[in-house]
Amino acid sequence: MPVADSEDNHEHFTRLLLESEPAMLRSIQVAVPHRADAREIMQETAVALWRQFDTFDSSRPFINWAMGFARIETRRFLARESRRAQLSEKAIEALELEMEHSTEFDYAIESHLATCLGKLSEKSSRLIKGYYHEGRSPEALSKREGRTVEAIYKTIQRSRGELQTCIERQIRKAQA
Amino acid sequence: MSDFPDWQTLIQKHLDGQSTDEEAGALSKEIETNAKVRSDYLKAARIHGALGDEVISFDLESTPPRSSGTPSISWAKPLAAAVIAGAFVGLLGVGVVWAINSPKSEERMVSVSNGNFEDSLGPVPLGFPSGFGNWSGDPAEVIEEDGNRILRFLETANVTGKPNGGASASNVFQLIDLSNLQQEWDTENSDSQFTLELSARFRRESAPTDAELPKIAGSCTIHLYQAEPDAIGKAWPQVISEAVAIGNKVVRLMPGEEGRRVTASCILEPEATLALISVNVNARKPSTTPIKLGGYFVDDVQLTVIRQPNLPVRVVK
Repeated sequence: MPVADSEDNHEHFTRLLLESEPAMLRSIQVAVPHRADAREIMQETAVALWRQFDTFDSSRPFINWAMGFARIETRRFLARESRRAQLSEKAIEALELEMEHSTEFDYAIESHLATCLGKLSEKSSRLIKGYYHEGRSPEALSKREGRTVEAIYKTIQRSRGELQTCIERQIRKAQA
Repeated sequence: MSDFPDWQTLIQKHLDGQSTDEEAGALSKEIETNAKVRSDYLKAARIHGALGDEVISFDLESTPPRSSGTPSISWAKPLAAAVIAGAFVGLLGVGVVWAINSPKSEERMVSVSNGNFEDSLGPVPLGFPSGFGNWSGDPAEVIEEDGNRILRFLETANVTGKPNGGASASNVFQLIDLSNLQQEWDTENSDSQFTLELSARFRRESAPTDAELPKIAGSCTIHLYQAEPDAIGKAWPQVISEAVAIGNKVVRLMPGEEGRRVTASCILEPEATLALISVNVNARKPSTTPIKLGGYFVDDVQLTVIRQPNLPVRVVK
């Protein structure tokens, strides 16, 4: 392949991957919620995609093609890793099937998450920011906040529940 | 009877890697057979994924915690008074050209002052805007290229000037009066749903700091408030938690990549009296000191209001 073509191809691939990466990561996290694990799978997926990029039919959506690879890499990861408790193969299949038919909530997250984040209490907001945006562990947050690790987990988990309730309320409001 | 009746709690534990093998097994069986638990798991996992998404987490950085004390814009006037005040100020210009996409929706351009940056040249005023109709914010400048004027982001800053405050983004803001629009369309009593769409065209060129900013992204953001214009800057950024609605859209470009238009949207709630729009670039790395940017440009900022009839079934893009 001429160098120029190769560079164009690489740029094209990078662009498609950048566009699809957030949605792919979110889908991977359904089966593998831990972010570092999901990123590891994403990285393996990106390598596999690049190796097979010549076979990609550009008349079809890249993300659909790429998600097939992500599913394979996710299965490989789950088969070799046992660091954390995992969902069963059947449960993951059921979730993947449902994911294909339930996109409305994804759109709702995109539309309403920022609004709902603004409605969290100060404490919850600080923890969500620390946990997700700053990438701090619950242990680090525990030290910073002067609370137990268990309390940190509970607040983060309760906050996600509140965000889900808020987004569902926003969906109902928009449909009313 | 199940040993794990509180599936919501177990779902949340599993997402944080806290579930035991036994709990994960029980949750798996429930996901396989119980549609409600399956749906709840999927929603919770999607939110967990979205919060970790760098694109959405951009919002977190600028979204301060909601204060438990008195709302910072508690003095905001009731809608009727605000509408009168807005009409008197008269700073909202509404375009006269209508585009009808379908029999079911109508679009109208809302005037963004100097949205194409053709009316200015040089540095953008620093600091938060205190009134309607002017761009101001973090260090940025309007430059001219081939006869076209365009906004270039220069460096990140903390728009409030707070020492040691977060400075990982460069924001350029404008406040837009919505009171005339709300009054004219009687949004409070209308059967229609109104949406505001903010769009802008971003472009990225190579800059000396590119290697240090692998995650840099541009975005346009729209916030709606029920407030007086000068109150937003005074209470920034705490005031964000009192926004009536927020929309944000991020674009990640590679140096030299063809420019792209991005659109952020939010529902126009009847109580909103003003819109705060911003175009911005975020280095997406924590910093309390300015970061040189230089490679990101934005042009052609447009705001559109769309009226759609309330349908029994919501159409989602």
